[in-house]
Amino acid sequence: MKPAETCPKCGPVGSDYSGTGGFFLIGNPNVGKSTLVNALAGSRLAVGNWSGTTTEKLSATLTVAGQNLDLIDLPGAYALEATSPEEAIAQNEVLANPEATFINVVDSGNLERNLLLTIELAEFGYAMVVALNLWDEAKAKGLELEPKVLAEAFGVPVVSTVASSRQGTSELLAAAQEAPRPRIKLSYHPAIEAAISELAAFIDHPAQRAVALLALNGEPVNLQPGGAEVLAGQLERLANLGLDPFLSISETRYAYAQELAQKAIHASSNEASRSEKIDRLILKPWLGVPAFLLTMFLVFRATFLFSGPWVDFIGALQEVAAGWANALPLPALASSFLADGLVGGVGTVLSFVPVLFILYLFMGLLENSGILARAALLADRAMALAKLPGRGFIPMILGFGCNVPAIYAARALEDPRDRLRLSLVIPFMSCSARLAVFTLFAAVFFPHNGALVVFGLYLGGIVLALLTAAVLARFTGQGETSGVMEIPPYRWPSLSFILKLAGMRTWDFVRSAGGIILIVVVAVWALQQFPAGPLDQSLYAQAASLLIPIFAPLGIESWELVGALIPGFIAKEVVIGTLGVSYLGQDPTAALGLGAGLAQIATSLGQAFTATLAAIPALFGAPQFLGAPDGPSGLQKALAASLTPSAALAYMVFVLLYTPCVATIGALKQEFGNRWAAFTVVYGLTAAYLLAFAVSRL
Amino acid sequence: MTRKLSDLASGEARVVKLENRAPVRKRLQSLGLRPGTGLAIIGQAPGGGPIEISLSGTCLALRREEAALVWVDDEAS
Repeated sequence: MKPAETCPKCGPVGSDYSGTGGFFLIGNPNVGKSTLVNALAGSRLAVGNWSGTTTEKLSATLTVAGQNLDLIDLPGAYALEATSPEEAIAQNEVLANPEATFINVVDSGNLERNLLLTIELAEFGYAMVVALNLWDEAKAKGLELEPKVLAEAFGVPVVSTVASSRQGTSELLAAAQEAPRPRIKLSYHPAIEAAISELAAFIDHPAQRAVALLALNGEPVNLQPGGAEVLAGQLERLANLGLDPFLSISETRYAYAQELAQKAIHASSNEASRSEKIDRLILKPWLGVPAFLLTMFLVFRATFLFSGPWVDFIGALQEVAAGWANALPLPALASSFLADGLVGGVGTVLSFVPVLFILYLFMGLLENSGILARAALLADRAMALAKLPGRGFIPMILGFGCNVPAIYAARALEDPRDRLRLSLVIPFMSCSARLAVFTLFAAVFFPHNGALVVFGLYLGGIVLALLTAAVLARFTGQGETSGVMEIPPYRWPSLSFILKLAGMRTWDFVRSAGGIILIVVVAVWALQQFPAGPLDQSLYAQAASLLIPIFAPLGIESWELVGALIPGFIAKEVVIGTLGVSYLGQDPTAALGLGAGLAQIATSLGQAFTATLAAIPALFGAPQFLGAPDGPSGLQKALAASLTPSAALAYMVFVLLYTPCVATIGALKQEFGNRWAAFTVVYGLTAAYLLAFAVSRL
Repeated sequence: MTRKLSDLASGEARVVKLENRAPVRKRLQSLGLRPGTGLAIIGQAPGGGPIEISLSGTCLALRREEAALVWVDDEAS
């Protein structure tokens, strides 16, 4: 085989072309691409979604030599032939951006396989550079690489980088600005070459040859009129020759990747990696599963312990702000609107920030350290009981943050029936909004084993989800599940990136859910104000009272608690806010002077810091280090007076399972239509009522 | 001895061929599992779960039914 030749059609070889179409990062999953984007983008990193999908999209605008350039991170792809939705996005973007510059991120420790994508991309002839990332990891493994070999083979700069410590990143950016077009032409099987020539006439794209190869690989690329027939004819001809185009093309590329890797690697080692040694232990049943359960438990306990002080702090801020509002010379209704409606609503939105931020932080740690992949591996049998692929475990875990992105993440499953079943059960995964309800109730009713109760609720949600998915499989059918996945090595994640990502994801939530939460809290306040008079005569209390007979068998008999479930249907975030308005609205906050308010804020801030520090030893099993908790808040006292512990548990179970929030129903409707969305609502309500009834009898 | 990857409990082996089951083979091939690849078994997830294998430079997990599509030469014997 003669692998590399100069390609006359590949554009100006070695010209000083510099991309004006922005930079795209492209590479296999788990090669540190996002970390590299973070290192290149600095504070200008933004998180969003690929249009029409909810695959997360990282991007940034860089100012280079006075010019604004977009830097976009493509989803991880092993090849441009799409076997996953991520690869489909990568393929689309590559086809659509011939004028862009591509930064191909390669795992230095796994050169051979990573070079496959490099070869495929280079065949497009776009301006590109190669980043040999994870250089330090490869060195630690005893690998010695010669980047020059690759630079000569492809005719593009090859820069060694360690994204986590920003090593080589400025060299990479400098090289990307002057990126040349690669020169490479593989010689495929003569029959494939003939097919490429036949097809070329029907391809209106600067990278004719590369697009023809995609078409022969069975990818749905655009062909000029008549092209589809020619393609079908060529495929038939190849089949008659006994040639599988996909196999033949990929073998040619592999052979070249292998040859390049052998030339570029000077020293290697066959020693089992540290990750392999750990996995040998983890896969022993007596170690892996308990370790996995303990990790999940610690994550939720930590979320509970670390967010608590800050939720309290926001509560204190809210009280001060309400006090200030009451001190203003305003009519009673107006100051009540400010103090109870507006400040209450904003306070409710803000009280989710600590919980969400810390949960996203831990999710980021699990995801980027490689632990989540092991969790999917260990959970595979459980997922198989639900007749779902192991990869479905990751959207389920994401559901703990928020059900809406989790439902979109379920698109990662290829089979539409699997996707439907997984999405329908995701609402049983307790999202962080519900966690806030549990945290409050657990603190009041189960002060000594709150984390255990919350953990039990999560587990119950998972069990119900798996059971439901398994039963649904009888009605919807199930896909041929594919459990093949890469298990990345354990890595220390980049803390700055994870902090930033958690911050951006939290902000995204506040932005999209904040408005509706605020509106609902203000609307409930308004319902409570009319007709003027005592609160238990208001429209709101009257509506809630009508529902009490339904909830009485569960031991829930106060209109405040029943009422909070109604706006909770719109967004579960507002359950606590509504409870607060219902219980405390009766008892207006005292007016507060500016100075006294500031002093109160300073004190609460100090307390929040102390409590956060105290939470560190508490995490590992000594909750008493917290000392005697300061007096319970007004809401906590009111709750303690209205419920027995078993009725409180029933309430928690009901909140866990009853109908998903409006945003989640919207996502289900968008994905699967009205019927399935309605099914989820009815099924959720039924399951919630029956199980809450069972729990109330405990 | 040539046998299915799913019948191999431990040790090292070399891939001989992949059964032609379209989506799975495409994915295995692009993940680096192809004829000629040497691999080592790391272990199996509890309860008959997926097996984890190491290839040069990476690790993969396959369910038993997927591992049954991979024919390997057992190098130990």
